[in-house]
Amino acid sequence: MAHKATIRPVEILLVEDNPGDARLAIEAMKDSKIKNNLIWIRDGIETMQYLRKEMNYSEAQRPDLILLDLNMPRKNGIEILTEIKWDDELKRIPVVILTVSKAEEDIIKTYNRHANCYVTKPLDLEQFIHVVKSIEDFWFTIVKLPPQGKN
Amino acid sequence: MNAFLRIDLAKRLHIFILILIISTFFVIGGYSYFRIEDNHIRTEKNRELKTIAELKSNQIRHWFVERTDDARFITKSPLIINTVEQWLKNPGNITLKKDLKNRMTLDVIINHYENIFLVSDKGKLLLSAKNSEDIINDATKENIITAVKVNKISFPGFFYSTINDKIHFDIIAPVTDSRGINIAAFLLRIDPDDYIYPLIQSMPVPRLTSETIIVRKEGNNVLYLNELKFMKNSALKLEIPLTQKDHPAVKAVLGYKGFVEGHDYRGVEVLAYVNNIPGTSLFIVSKIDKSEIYEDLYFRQTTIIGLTFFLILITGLGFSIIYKTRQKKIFLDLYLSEKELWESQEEFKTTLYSIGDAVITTDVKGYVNRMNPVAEMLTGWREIEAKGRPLETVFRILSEETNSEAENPVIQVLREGVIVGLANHSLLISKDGKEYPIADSVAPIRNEDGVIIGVILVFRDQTEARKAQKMIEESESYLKEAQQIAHLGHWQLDIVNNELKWSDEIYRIFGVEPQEFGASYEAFLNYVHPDDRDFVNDEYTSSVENRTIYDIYHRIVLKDGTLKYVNEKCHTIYDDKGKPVHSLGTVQDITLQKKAEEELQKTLMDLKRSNEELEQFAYIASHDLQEPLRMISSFTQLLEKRYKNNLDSDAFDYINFIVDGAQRMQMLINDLLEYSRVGSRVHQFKIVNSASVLNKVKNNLQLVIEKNSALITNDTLPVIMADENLLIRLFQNLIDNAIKFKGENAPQIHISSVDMGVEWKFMISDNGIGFSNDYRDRIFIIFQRLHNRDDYPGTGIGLAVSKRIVEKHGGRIWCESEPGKGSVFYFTLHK
Repeated sequence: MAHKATIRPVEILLVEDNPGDARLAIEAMKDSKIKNNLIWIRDGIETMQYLRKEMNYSEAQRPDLILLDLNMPRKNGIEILTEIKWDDELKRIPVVILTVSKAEEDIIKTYNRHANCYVTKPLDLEQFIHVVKSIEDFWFTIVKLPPQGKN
Repeated sequence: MNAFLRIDLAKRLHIFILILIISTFFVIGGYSYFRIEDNHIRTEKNRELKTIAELKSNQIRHWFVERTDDARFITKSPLIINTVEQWLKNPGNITLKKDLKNRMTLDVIINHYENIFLVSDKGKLLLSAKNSEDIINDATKENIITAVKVNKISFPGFFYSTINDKIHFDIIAPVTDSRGINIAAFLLRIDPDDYIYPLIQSMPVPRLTSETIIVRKEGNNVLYLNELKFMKNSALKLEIPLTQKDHPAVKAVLGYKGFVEGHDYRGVEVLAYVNNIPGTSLFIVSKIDKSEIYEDLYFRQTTIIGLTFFLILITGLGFSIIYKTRQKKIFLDLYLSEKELWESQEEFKTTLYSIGDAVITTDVKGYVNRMNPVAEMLTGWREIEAKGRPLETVFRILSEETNSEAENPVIQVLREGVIVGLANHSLLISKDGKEYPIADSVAPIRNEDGVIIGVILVFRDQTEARKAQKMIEESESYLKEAQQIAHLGHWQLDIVNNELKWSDEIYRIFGVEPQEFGASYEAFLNYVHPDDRDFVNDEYTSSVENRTIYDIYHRIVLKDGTLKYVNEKCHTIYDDKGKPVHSLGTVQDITLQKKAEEELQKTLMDLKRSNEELEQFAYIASHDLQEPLRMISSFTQLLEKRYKNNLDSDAFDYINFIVDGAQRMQMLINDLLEYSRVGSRVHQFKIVNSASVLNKVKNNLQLVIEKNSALITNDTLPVIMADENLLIRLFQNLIDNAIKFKGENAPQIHISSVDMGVEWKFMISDNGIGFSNDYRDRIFIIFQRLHNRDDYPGTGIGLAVSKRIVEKHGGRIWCESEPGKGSVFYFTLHK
């Protein structure tokens, strides 16, 4: 597992408007064994610009995983998810919905739009860190992802 | 009856005249027939007389000719002439005399002469055939001399011989000798009784009085030559002077020929035929008594008269029979019609007596004739005792209004001759003083000619009717009051005449004094709000045309500008041809309801909006409240983690409080979220078997059930319409509670249901700790708890959610409990 990490750090795009949550996620990632490069964007429109390498993000790296919160200003998580999954360039990027909502309709709605998984943010810090690490583990060590830059 | 007699009399007169005419015909007929018969008989008798007379006349003439021939035969016979000549020359020649006598005797015998004489030309008897006393008298001598002189056969005829008192008939035939000198004559004597008289008297037709007479003129008299039928010894004796021209014989002798009427020798009226007998100086009279002729005629006359009378009698009798039969029929008809009349009178009586109204009839003076039992009952008078009394005695009435005696209606009717309806405020005072309010009418009774012959009074006890009237009036006033209370008026539109009637309440609704003006459809439309006018008109018109329901809401504007809402309903009545006749409808002032409704609607809208807002709020709040909570809890923990070496024990306590508070806060928020979701989500109502729901719940709670050794039993549970997930949550909450609040013994939970008709009632009973009934409402309020969190953990959301689920299904939830004795939770669900 480690040999992969040595090749290049994994690119993780965190879309989260709450700086606290973003900070907790970043904190959790700091202790990660997987070498990662976590990009935090707190705005829906900016996220799409980043993914499409528009405006200031022409140099942006295509992420290996997107952690997407649902409550976002300007463009919410559902809209971002829909756009990603409708985009042939982007649809293969795994999107993990990371949100506080336990509402059934949110869960159903996101899966209907091809979210790759839905995770509720735990209230407890330890649990939160554990969840973030589990996501990392699962997507970068267990799951086989499509190769970068290939259609 | 009179009419019948009149008809009868007229008929009788007719018949009498008819009989008279017929009788006259008969009499005329009889008379005519008699005349014809008379004529006929006369003609016949005449003919008969004439025939007889002519016959006799011919026979006599013929006899005369015979006799002449015979005489000539004798006198011209040469032998006889010669013998006579010889004998006269030789009177003593016996032989000659004998020869002559023989010859003469022979002639007597052959020709039935009485005797034959040979006489000289001077009349002296020379020789007679028979020896007889009879001699030749002087008259005969004269006749002989005359005859010889003229040398011709002559007929001196009948003569009466006094010698032998006998009638003879003589014929003288002169005898001439060869030189032509009269030498003698033969006297041929005939007994008239031998032939001529019987000839005369014989009748070819037997008649009682008919008779033939031979007469001759004898100087100035008529001499009857033969023996008469009705007078003995009359021959040559009876003479009648020629002056008596009434005698047919006289007429005959005087040269009259033909029919004559007159009196005969007896002085009896006769009819005769007279004529001379040619070749003689004799006349014949053939006669018959008129009486005989008329006897026949009388017989016929009598027969005809008898027959006529008989016919008249028969006619009379026939008519009499016809009349009698007719009369019988008339009387039968009369009887039948009388019977019918009697029956109809009986029927009238029966009708009168069984009629439900009281009836009194009076005569023209106002005295009681009849009264029926009802009238007897009301007046208190018996018909027998009332009969003949003045009406006002029997029928005493007071005017109810003035309480004074009212005018006797009979007098009014008799005076005015019209039907009088009594004032309906009459009080009848009966004989025993009882008072009855009555309604009545009086009418004149007229006969065929229209003359008033009495009065009929019909009345009835109005006590009940008054009550009914009062009830109607009351009911009407109640109706008015009810309409006023309900603000509901009714109207009736006469479509044919466009007449609209409003009840008082409609006027009141429209803000005008009741019946202030005559309502009309146009007046009504004027009150309708201008924006609603077309709608109202169209709706009404179409409901009448299409027979649809007219039930509309619209606005009206009163004169003062007040706006009102009304509800109008009506239905229309149609005639046989489907033509609308009138509409009956109601108007209800629903302004207040309308306003209340509008307010309610507004409230409902507000409530809905506020509910929606609340749900939205709860949802958003729970989302948005989570974030800061997590921040508090997470960073507190991060702080503890990163700086645990720099914190004292108090700090750890505080950190624990912060984290614990944040976590409880999060639980509350989650529960609140769940609670709000029951109301907000769109639920799927499907057919759900509540028994299988219970099984799923038992499955879900398996760990808890096993841990607490809970015993869950149930009766047969129904199939219902519900959202299955919510139903699972409901059962789970209640069963979970029942286990959670268990008592000292292992929990025993029983679930049962009762069919309540439109819904099912479910019961979940347990043997748990129970609670005071004081709290039985409170426990259903969100976050309300009865116990310490440390003893029984939980936020107190379960029953609140359960209540919400039940209410979402349109049911109710409640409970009964007693501390220490368990609880029963009830809820109902629609079928």
